[in-house]
Amino acid sequence: MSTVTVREPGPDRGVVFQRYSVFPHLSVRDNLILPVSFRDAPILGRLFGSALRKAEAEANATLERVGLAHVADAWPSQLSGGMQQRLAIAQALVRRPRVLLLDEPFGALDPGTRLSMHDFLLDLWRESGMTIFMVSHDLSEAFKLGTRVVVFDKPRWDPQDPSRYGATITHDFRLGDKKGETSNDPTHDSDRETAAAAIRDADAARPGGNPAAPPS
Amino acid sequence: MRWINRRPGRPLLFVLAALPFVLTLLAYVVGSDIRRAANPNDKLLPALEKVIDRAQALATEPDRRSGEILLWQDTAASLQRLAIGVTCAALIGVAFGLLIGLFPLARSTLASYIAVLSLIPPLALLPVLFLVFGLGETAKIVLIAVGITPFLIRDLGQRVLEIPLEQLVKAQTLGASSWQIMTRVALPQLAPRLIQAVRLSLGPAWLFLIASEAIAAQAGLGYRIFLVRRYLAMDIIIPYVLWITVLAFLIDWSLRLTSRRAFRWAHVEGESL
Repeated sequence: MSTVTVREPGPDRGVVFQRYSVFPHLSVRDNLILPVSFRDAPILGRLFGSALRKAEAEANATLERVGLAHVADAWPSQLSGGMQQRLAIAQALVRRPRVLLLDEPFGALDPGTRLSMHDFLLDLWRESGMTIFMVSHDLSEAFKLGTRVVVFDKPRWDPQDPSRYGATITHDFRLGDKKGETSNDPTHDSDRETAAAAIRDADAARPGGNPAAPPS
Repeated sequence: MRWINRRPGRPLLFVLAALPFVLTLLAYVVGSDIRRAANPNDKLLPALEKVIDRAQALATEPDRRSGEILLWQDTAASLQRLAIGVTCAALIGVAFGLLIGLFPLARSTLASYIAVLSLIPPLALLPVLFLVFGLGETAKIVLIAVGITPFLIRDLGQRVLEIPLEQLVKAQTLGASSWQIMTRVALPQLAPRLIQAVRLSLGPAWLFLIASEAIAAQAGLGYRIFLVRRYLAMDIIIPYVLWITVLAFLIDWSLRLTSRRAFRWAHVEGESL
């Protein structure tokens, strides 16, 4: 691990947010070509000729892999939420970042779509082997996807002034490698349940515990 | 059924939309009849036939003195001023809107300055413009530009600020420079907003055009209206006002159509005015 002072976002860190992670004025395919344009066309920001055809071919291959080839010419607003997020993740990976940051990427999706996105993400992670850092409010999602789950909570809680004390790491679970696991594999379920129970116990045992505290 | 749930069917929709126009016309005809009953040569509300005849003559017959067909000459002069003025304002508005919306340093420098500038009533500057630029085309074009540019800058700057921060962060993680974010992320998304903003500022633009033509010009729709006012020539003023209205409507309509055609991504969801 290297120590770097981070001042602004850069291409070594890919990111996907809950919303607004793709560019609405570009077609699905152009959303995947854009990162290449940023790299290869510093002034015009656009590719032409053979460079464009090469980027298009790469984009088409990526779209094939993430199951969006049939909507390559649509605009993002015409896609479902799950498709938009798949596009956003695919786009974030074009520049091959060292770390992928996911900020509640599946928070706005319906439960069924969310499950298929879990499979999608796990497959992607096994293929690439990159570090994925994901923020989630959903405990079961965190334990299903994570090899390590870090829980943030407020150890002190003033009901009169909820913002008085900040959040800190309250739990740190190392769930081990799940490279060989399918998303439905129950191997780690017991681990997860133990961990989830530990969090609940800790909440209950805390003096002046905050059962009604908003997740923050 | 409640009144808020009653919707007109197709035929009724047409009738309702036409109703205010028909009533206005009717009010004119009746008023004109009453006045002409008292004085057959009334100039204030001339007979409809007389107005139509005059409008036809204006559009087809060359002027006896200059040999030009006045309506087209005036239209060309006015539209040219309007087009140049609005285009200049739009270009300045986009440039400064992008600067203010994207760069905090530019925003800190310019935002309050432009807020103050936009409070100056442009018509109060008209004498200054005539003194500085003379009585030719420049002063009129500059008045239009000066009049609507502050609004365009503020509106477009706001539109750029409304681009979700997530998009800007994402673009940076995809390796975009400030310049690339400006040209490939902000500018394309600003384009349909620019058309919207221009549509909104066309009203004031016409106002400034006609005001400057009224004071000093040799041709132009506003010039003609103010010229024939001296002869109480309502039969010229009314067709001219209607013609300006038609032009304004056509410009607005074509801008809306352009936006729909050129920026279909911005019109995918829902309708807008």
